[in-house]
Amino acid sequence: MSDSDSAAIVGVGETAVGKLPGVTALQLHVEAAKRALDDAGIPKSEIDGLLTCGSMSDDNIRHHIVIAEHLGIFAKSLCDTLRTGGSSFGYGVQLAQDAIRAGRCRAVMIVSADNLLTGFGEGKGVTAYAQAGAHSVEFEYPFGAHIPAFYALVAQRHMYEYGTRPEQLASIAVACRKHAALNPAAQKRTPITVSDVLASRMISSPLRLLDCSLISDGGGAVIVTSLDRARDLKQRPVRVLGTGQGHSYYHMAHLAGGVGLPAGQKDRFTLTSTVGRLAGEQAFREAAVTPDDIDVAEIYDSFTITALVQFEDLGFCKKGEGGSFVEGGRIELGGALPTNTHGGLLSFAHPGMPGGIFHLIEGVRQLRGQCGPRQVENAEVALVTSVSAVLSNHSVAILGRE
Amino acid sequence: MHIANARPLPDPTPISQPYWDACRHHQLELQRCADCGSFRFPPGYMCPSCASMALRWQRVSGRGRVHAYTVVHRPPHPAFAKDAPYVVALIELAEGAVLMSNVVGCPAEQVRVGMPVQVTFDDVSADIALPKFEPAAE
Repeated sequence: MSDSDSAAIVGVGETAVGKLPGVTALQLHVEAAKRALDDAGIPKSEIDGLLTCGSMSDDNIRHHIVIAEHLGIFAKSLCDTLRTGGSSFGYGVQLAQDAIRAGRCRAVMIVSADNLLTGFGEGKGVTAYAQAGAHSVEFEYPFGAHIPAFYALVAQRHMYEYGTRPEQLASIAVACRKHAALNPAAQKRTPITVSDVLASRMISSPLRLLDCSLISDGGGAVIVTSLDRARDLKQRPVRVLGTGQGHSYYHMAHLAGGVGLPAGQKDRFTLTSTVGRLAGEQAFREAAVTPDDIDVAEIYDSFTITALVQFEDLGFCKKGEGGSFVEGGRIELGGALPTNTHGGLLSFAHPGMPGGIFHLIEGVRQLRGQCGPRQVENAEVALVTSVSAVLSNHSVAILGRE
Repeated sequence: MHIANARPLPDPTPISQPYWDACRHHQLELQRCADCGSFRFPPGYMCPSCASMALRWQRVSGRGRVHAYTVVHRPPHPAFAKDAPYVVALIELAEGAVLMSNVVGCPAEQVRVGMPVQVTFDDVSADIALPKFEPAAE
């Protein structure tokens, strides 16, 4: 890709994360946006594209222009509330890149924030999602199913098909916590062991408490411009090398049944072989790199199984071998594929829809060399994923150091 | 957003009303495509296999196998607490369609992928009976 075709991320910012009583989702949006603007050193008047992702605690059908008003960003040629939930960030980068390449926008901001923890009270964030129809209120919720149960079904099926063990899933949680321990901003920083994970309370078998992401308040923002413009700004530009998307269905039963797949291709996508594969293929093809070229990976980890399935679907290892791939320190700092170096959703923070923006921000910081004790040495290429529903919405972005 | 207190129940829609009516009478009915014979679930307007709009309600056997399962220890809502731990499963019906339900009538530890099951109905309200599945002979 030629320079004139390239887009770059020039500014990132995030709020404090964790338990933030008395702070509204709106306020978190504004704080995150301000930090990204300051980080970029770009005048706010230059922003002519804005993407948001809605909010569980404070949503409306005009969310994108409500946020635009709070930020005083008047005229935009790209402005929308992305509705692919947690998978909106690679998608947002793709939209920003397309708009910039086409000359429709000069600078696009993606901002997302929520107070899933204090907005609903302790323990109610998951209920809020269920009630809002994040999954089928008619055909799934009445059976006592919720997001952890959905991912537990995937985990259990993966164990059945491939012999994946709870210890292997646990090693993902251990790695994320190890990295969070090096990150002063992370919500949970006390190191944990595989035994700790296996001793934690069972939520929905086989997933235990420490296999599940946090529930948090917080938000983040990124700003995308052309590479040319990026070179005039104060941070080291981070190029967008490639992006991809893959989306499937709403009801888990549709995923399990291969519904709508041509006869003879019913196994192409299953509960454990997801359309994340499409997102990865597209991103790698556009970036003209392979999994071996990735120096650091920020993999959406709503649950340990979410990350494990993606390592396979992205081609870091063969289908079914995710369990052994994540063992032995391979995904820890110092290993072959350091993953979720900020701590991930499992240990850094998970405010719901915004969660994936922290993976994107961390990918950018790694390529800028700004990660201090959790810096991957000579990180040149980063892969960032975001996932939603039940591994049914995926976006992937591959970023490169300028 | 207000968290509702009542136990979550299906709210039938025009397309799903026949399904829930049949359930209330303790029968399992799915739509079958008049053109290619595939069954579809959940209820809809188009055959996902061949795109035909000719869908007809048909009684199904109620037999199936467990495709995947999980034992829920921490329910999503207080209304389910008294049932916990309970099994949520994806059931592959003999007719080919897959649906989500509970496996009941046996200890949770006995549930296995591939286990043959048969539908049974749980009258959870005056209007709604939920199809659930219990172990069946091979």
